[in-house]
Amino acid sequence: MSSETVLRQILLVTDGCSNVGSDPVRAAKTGISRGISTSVIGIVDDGSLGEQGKREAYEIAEAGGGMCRIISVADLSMTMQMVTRQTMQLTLQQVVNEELRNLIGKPTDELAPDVRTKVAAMVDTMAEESELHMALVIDVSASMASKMASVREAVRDMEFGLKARSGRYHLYVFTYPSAYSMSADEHVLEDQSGSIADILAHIRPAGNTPTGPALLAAIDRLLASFVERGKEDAGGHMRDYVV
Amino acid sequence: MFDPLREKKTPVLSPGMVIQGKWKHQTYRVVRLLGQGANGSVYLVWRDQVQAALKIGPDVTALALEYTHLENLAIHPLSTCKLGPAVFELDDIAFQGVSWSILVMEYIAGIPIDQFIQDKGSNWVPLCLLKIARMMEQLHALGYSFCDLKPANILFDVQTAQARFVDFGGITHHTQAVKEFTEAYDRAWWGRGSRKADGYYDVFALGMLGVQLVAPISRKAIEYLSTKAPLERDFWLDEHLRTHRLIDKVVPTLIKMVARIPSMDSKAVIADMTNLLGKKGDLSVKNEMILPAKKVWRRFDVTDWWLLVAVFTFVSVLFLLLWIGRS
Repeated sequence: MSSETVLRQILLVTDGCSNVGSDPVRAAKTGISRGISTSVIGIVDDGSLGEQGKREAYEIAEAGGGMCRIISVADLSMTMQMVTRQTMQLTLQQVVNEELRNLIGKPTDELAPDVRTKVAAMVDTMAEESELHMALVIDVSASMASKMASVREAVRDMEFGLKARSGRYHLYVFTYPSAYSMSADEHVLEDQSGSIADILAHIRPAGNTPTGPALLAAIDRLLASFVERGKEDAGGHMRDYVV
Repeated sequence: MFDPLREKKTPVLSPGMVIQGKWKHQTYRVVRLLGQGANGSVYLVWRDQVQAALKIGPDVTALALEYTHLENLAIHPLSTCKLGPAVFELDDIAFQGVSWSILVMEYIAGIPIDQFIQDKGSNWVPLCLLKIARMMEQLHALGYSFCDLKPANILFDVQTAQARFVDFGGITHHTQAVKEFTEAYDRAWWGRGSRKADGYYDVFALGMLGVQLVAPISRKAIEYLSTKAPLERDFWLDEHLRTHRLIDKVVPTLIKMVARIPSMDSKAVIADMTNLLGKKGDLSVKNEMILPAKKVWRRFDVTDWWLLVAVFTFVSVLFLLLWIGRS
């Protein structure tokens, strides 16, 4: 079961409130209804996030079935890894809960602790081995300029974490606002030996914050990747990045 | 139903509060908060007549896993000394209508290793590292790595200098990806290896812990390095170690522990530290006799120049007064 499980999740990294385009909370809801969870990391340095931004971050995560962390930019690497792992566990826990409800009519947190430890061990193994399709949606609006170096390195660091897992993964990186369209730019890694983080080094942060459209673009990509996966043969060769 | 919203806030228990477990019906009286992290809070509680540590957090799976690990370690025939706290129970409590998972463990009194070294002096570093390496060796023999090795997770008893690990949330089976880490102690972050758990991962972290104790890397430096690529961090660390290599006799071993190509396992660390301690008796005497070169020659710095300027001004004012007096 574990090796066949595919997890699809979005991680949004932002330092501000959305101000253009469709509602990000609704976008996150659309995502979860298609099996894609959305988690949010809000960066508070320079105070551009504000109360409104924080509330929006929580609302997006809440609607997207993910988690929300408000941190300073120095903690970004650690938090990105932690949120990814915990969101995976959360999603798997929900999958297991669903199965349990079908079987015995009880979710995990209503199980006796000694049974729960067995479920936890299973969830842990699944989190390590399951296939992960992940879209990283990064806010590169003007206020992010001073944080881009940290973000770039956090993305690189995240790849280390993903590589260390035994399960396969696909990482899609989106930055918004887009230089070319109304939503977000998807970054393609041409040279497989490099890191997708290096691409971020060439992005000049500017413009406003269309969080909603960016999330929708990521959802579309993850849905498409799921279809692509279906077409591939089961034992087939798959690159680290299918972008 | 499982509610992801619970991630938002861990309940705040106030001193004097009495709570009861849902399954085992054990009651706990809250004494005070011991610590708080991103993954929950730990409280000191009275469990009948015994003090205990109660961990409460939003992540049901994490607490259940930690419970399993602690229990396995406690009953494992290979365990010869206590690595972590003994576990009492895994249970649930109801707080403001919401059910929360709790893990109740033995309360370990002690202070974090960095504070311990601050109190006792840096010549205690080899002994402390030796004790930790011994605990690590046992863990590695069971096929696990501790991973999130940082001062807050290693407590020392002030009187007996006994070491214990607390917070087993990061413990990872070899071949799995490291679950929890702290940048300054993480091999991959420094560009010196993968983030897959193995024995060497822990040795690297222990080496960095030693570095933090004898030649600390400031939070500011870490923040600066977090904007740099791993390769640059790697060079920076080399430079840091090179400039501090004479600061303490433990540093050469630390350099080997954090090397790019790992050569030391926990056994080798134990051997090296024992060696350092064994020689310590006669070395400390020899040190004073052979090494008067310990007197460090200081280069002139800004303070010295100001001193020179002050003396010069003083003398010239003196001459000026003398000259005025004469004429």
